[in-house]
Amino acid sequence: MKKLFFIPIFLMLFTTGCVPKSIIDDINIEAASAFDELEDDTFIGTVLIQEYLPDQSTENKTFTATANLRRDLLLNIQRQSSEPLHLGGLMVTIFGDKLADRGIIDFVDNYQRDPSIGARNFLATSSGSALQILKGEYGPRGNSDYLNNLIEHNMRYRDLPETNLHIFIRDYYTKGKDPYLPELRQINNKEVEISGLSLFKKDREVHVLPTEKMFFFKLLADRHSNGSFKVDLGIDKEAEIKSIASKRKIKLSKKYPSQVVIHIKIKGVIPEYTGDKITPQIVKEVEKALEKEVNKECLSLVKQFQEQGIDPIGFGFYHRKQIRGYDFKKWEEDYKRLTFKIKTDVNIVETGVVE
Amino acid sequence: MKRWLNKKQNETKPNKADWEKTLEKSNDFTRSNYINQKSNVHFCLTFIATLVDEQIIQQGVLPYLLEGELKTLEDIKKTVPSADVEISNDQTVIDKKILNGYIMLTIDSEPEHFAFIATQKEIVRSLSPPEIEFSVIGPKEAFVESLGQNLNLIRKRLPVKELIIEEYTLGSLSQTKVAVLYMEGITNEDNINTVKQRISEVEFDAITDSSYIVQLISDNSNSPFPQLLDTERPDRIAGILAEGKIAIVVDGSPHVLIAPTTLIEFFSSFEDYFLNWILASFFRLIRGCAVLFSLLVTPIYVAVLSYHYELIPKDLLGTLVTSRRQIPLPPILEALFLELTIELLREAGARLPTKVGQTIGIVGGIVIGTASVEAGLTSNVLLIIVALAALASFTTPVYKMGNTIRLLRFPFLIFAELWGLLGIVFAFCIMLTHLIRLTSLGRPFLEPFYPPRATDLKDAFIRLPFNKQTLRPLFLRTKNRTRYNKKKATEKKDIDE
Amino acid sequence: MPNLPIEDRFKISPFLVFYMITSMQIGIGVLGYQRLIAQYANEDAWISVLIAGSLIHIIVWMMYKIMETVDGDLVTAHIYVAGNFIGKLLSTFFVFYFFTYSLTILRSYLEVIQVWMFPTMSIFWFTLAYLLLCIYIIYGGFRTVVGIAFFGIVLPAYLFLIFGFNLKFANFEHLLPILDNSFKDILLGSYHMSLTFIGFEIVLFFYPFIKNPQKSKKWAHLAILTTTLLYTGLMMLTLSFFSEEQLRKSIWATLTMWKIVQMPFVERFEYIGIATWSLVILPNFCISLWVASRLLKRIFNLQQKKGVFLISITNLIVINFIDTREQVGLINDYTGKAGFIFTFLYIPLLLVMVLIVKKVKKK
Repeated sequence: MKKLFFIPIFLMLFTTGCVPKSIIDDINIEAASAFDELEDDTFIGTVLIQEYLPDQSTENKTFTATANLRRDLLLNIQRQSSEPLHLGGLMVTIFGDKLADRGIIDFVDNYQRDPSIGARNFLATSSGSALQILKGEYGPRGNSDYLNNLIEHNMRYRDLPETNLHIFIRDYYTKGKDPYLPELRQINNKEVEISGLSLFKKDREVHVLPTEKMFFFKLLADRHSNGSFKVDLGIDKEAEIKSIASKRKIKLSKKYPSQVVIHIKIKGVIPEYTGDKITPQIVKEVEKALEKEVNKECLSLVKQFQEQGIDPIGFGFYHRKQIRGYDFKKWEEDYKRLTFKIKTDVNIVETGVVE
Repeated sequence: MKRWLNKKQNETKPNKADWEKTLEKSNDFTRSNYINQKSNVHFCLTFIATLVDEQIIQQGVLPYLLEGELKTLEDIKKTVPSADVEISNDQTVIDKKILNGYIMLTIDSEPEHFAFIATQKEIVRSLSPPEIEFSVIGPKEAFVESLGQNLNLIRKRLPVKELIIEEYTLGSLSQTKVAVLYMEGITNEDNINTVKQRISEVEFDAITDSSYIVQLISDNSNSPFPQLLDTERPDRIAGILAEGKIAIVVDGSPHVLIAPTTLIEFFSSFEDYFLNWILASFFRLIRGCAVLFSLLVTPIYVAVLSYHYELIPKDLLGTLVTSRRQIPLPPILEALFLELTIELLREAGARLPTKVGQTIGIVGGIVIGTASVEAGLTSNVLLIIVALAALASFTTPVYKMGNTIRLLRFPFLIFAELWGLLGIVFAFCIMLTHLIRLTSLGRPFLEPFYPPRATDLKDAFIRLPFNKQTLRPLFLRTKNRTRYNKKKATEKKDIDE
Repeated sequence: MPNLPIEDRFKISPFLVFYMITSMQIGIGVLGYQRLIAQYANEDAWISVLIAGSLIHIIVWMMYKIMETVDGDLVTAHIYVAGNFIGKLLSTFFVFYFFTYSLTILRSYLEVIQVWMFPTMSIFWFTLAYLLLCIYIIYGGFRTVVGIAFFGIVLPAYLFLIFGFNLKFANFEHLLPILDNSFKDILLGSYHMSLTFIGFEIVLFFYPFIKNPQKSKKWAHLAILTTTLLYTGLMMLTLSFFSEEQLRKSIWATLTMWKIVQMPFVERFEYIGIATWSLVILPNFCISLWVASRLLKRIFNLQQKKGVFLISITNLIVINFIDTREQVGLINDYTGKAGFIFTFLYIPLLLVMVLIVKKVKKK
C-alpha cells in the first residue's frame, strides 16, 4: 500500500517535470552567422541554416535582419524562421570589415557567455561584405561545412595559425598578446578563399597579413605540423619543402632583457626539386637558403608589428612571465625599444624516393 | 497382464483407511491377492498401476513371491531380489510410498505390518545437448527432468565423498523432491544453513520447476534481476560446487540452481572456461559492452535527439535530420514503437513452434522494419539502433538476465525522455543503488565490484588463466580457500604469494 | 544513551574510507574552484591548493586522535568533553551543518544544470526525485551509502582522462613566474579552497562503522593526498589553459574546459560531463543526509528512517527559496566558511579539550 503512494508522484513528475525539448528536426540549427556594421550602432546580421534534404544534399537558407544589439538581432531573425532557432550547432562566424575595425569583443563575449556555443567555433573576418559570403553556394555539403572545413584544413596542414573561439578569447584576455583571425574573401558566388590574416589590436582589426607572409607568421606564432614552402636557389633551381614541422621557442636574452631571442626549428622533406640531382650539398644549400629567408622574413614581420604597436606573438606575455616582478605598465614603452634575434634551424630529413 | 491384475479385485478389507477410500476413486489404483505356492500364505499387493514398472513386477517380484519361501514379511527380504524392500508398521507412510511407485505387500497373518518393494517406473528422457546454454566446445550433456539422473550426472563429475546431497520434499501437493548439493569442507556453513532453512521454509502447493524455487527463496522477490543462477549444464554445476557454491536440484526440472551468485556470473558463459583465457576475456568484455549498449543506446538516441542536438557530430547531423524529416512521432514514441515491435516479435517467436518462429523473426524483422521506414513511421537510423540493441541483448548467456536487460530499457527510455542525458544517469543511479542493495543468500550481489575485492576481479570482466586463480572466490567465504596445492604449483612455476 | 556498538556485518573495510573521503570531497566545488583561488593567488594558485591540502593532513591526524581517545564519533567526543546535555546540544549544530551542506551541494548542481543544460528545469521536481533516490539509498543501510560513494568515484573517473584534450591547448608558461605573489595572497587562496576541500570531516561521524579504525588511517591520508594532487593538477592545467582575465570570468572553469573537447562521435562533451556529474554529486548529498539523520538518531533517539524523511522534506521545502545566482553564491560562501571554521578551528580546539579532559579524568 505504501508503495502505491509513489505512483501519483511519478505521474506528476512526468506531466510537470519535463523540460522543453529541442527535437532535431523541429528546430533550425544555426550553422554559421555573419555580422556587419551598417552605420553607427546598427548592424546587420545573417544567419545561415542548413536544411537537410531527403536526397542527402543540403540547402542553404539565410535570414538577414538589422538591429542594435546582438540579442535583438536574434529576435528579429527568429521572426523569419519557421522553426525555433538554436545556436548550439554554430560552426563559423564571420565579421565584416567595418565591424572588425570597430571592435568585435561584444559579439565574442556574448558567445563566451552562451553555454550552448562550443569553444571550437571558428571566427573569421571578411574582406568585403561578410553577409555575401554566407549567401553563396559552395557545394552539396552546405556552406557552413564548407567554410568550416576550409578553415580547419588550412590550420591543420597549411599556413593558417590555429585559432578558434577559445584561442581568440584567451589571447584577447592575455595581458601582452593580441589575437588574430583568418580573413575570408568571396571570389565569386561559388568560391571562397582565405585571403590573409587579420591582426588585431585588442579587438580591433589593424592590419591584414597577406597570404605570402602567413607561412612565416605561423612559424612565429604557432607550430607547423604539415606545411610546405618553396625555396629559390637561383636560376632553374627550385626546391619544394614539404611536411614541414616546426617548433619555436621565445626567450628573453639573459644579458639584455630588451632583446628577444626566437629560436625556430624546422624539419622538412624535399619531394620536388627542379634541378638535376639532389646531393647532400644541395640539401645543405636548401637548408641554408630557407634559414636565411625565414630569418629575414620573420625579422621584418616582428619589426612591422613593433611599429604598428600590435603584439600577436605575445612578446609582452613572455616579458611578464619570464621576468620576475615585471611591471606590465611599462610594457608599451619597453616594446618600442625591443630588439629581436631570430635563430633558425632547418633540418631536411628526407629527399624523396629517388636519388 | 490384465488377467492376473483383475483376478480378485473385489476382495477388499472390511474397514478401509482414509487413504484407501480416496485412492480407490482412481482407476489406476490396483489391489490383487495371491497365494504363495509353497506355504499357501495369502498375500495382497497394492499399488498404482501407472506408477510401477510392470516388468519389474512380473519378472522381479511376483515369481519370487509366488514360488519362494514366504511365511512372514521378513522373508520377503530374503526372497525378493530387490534392494529397496522396507517393512514398516506405520500407517501414515502408506499413501506416500504407494504414490511414489512402491508396491505394498500385506499378509493376512500380519495385518499391522506392510512391506514396500520399490518398483518405480522411470520414464526418462535420453540426454540431449544443452539448448539454451549451448557451447561449441565442451561437454554436450544437459540435465533432464529426472532427479536421479541429474544427480548421477553431477556425482560422476565429482566422485568424492565430500559431495553431500541432502534431499527435501517440497510442495504440499506436488511432493517435489529437492536436493541440495554442496562440498563439505569447502562450502561455507552459513550459506548451507541459509539455503537449507529457506528451502525448508518454502510453503507452496505445487512446485513444478526450479524457477518456482528461485522465486520462493530469493532475497528480494520484487527485483527484476534474477538472484539465483540456473543452468542446464552438469559441467557448470560441477565447476561451481568445486568453487564452494551450493547447487539445488529440483525433480522434474532440467535447470539446476546455483547459489549464491553475483551479477557478473549472469554475463559469463561457462564456455569461457573452455577457451584460452585471452579469448575468453575478450568475449567477456564484448558481452559486457553489448549489455551496456543494449541498455543505453536507444535511451541515448532519444535523449540526444530530443534535448542535446549539440552533441551530434556535424557530419552525422545531416543523416539524422534527413532520416527523421518525414516522421510525425517524437523520438520517444518512435523508439517505444520500435522497441515494442521487437518485443512482440520475440514473444511471438518464443510462443510458436521453432520453424514458424524463425519465419516470424525474418518476416517481422525485414518486412515490418522496411515497411515502417518507408511509411515514414520510424527512421532508418533508429531501426538499426533498435535491432542492434536487441541483438546485443541476446548475447547475454543467461536467458533470464537477457529478459531483465530488455525490460530495464523501458524505464531508461522514460527517464531519457524526461531529462535527457541527466535522466539516463539518474536511471542508472537508481539501478546501481538497487544492485548495491541486492543480495543473493545474504552475499552482496555486485561483488567483486562492490565491495571491491581485487582477488575476485580475476574472474569478472576478464578471466585470468587458471594458474592465477589458486583461490576460491572470496565472497563465498569458503572454509578452504585454496583451489589446489600451492606447493605443487610453486614447484612448477614461481608464482603466487 | 544510544551508544550501541555497531554490529560487524554493518561495518565497512578500512580501505573504503578512501572512497568515502574522496567522494565526499569531490563534489560541486571542483567545477569552479579555480576562479576563486586565482583571484588571490594568480599564477601561484596551485601552491595555495597544495598548502591547503597539506594542512588538511594535520587536521585528519587530529580527527583520528580525537576519535581514538574517546573511541567513538563526534557526539561521543562532545559528551566526553562537555557532558551529556551540552555535548548533545553542541552536536545539534552539526545537524544544521550537514543539512546546509546537502542543500548547498544540490542547489549548486541545479544551478549548473539550469545554466548549462535546461534553463527551465524545475527545482522542485528534480529535488524530489533526487531525494527519493537518496532515501532509497539510505534505507539500504550504511553499506549502500558507501557503495554509492565507491561508484561515485570509480565510474566518473573517466572524466579526468578527458582533460587530456585540454593539454593540447595548454601553455604551461602561464604558471611562471613561480611564487611571484605574496605569501598572504597565497594563503588567502588556500582559505578559499575550503568549500572544495571540506567533506573529509565525515570520518568523525562514521568512525564507529569502520572495521579496523587503526588501519583506515593511512587510507584517509591517501584520500587527502589524492584529492590534493588532483586539485593541484587540475589547477595547473586550468591556469595554463586560460588566460588570467578569462579565468576570472569563468564561473565554472572546469565545465568551460570541457567545451573544447571534441571526439569523433561527440561534438560537445560538456553535456555528458554535467550529466555524469550527478553521479559525483549523489554520494555528497547522500552522505550528508546520512550523517545528519544519524546525528538525529544519536542525539534525539529519533529513528534514522524517520530522520532521513524529516531532513529530506525540509530540504525539499527550503531549496525552493534559493532562487537567484546571488543566493546560491551566498549559501556556497557560508557553507565554505562554516566548513573552514569546523575543520580548521573547531577540530584543533576539540582535540585540546579532549586531551585536557582525559588528563583530568585520569587524576
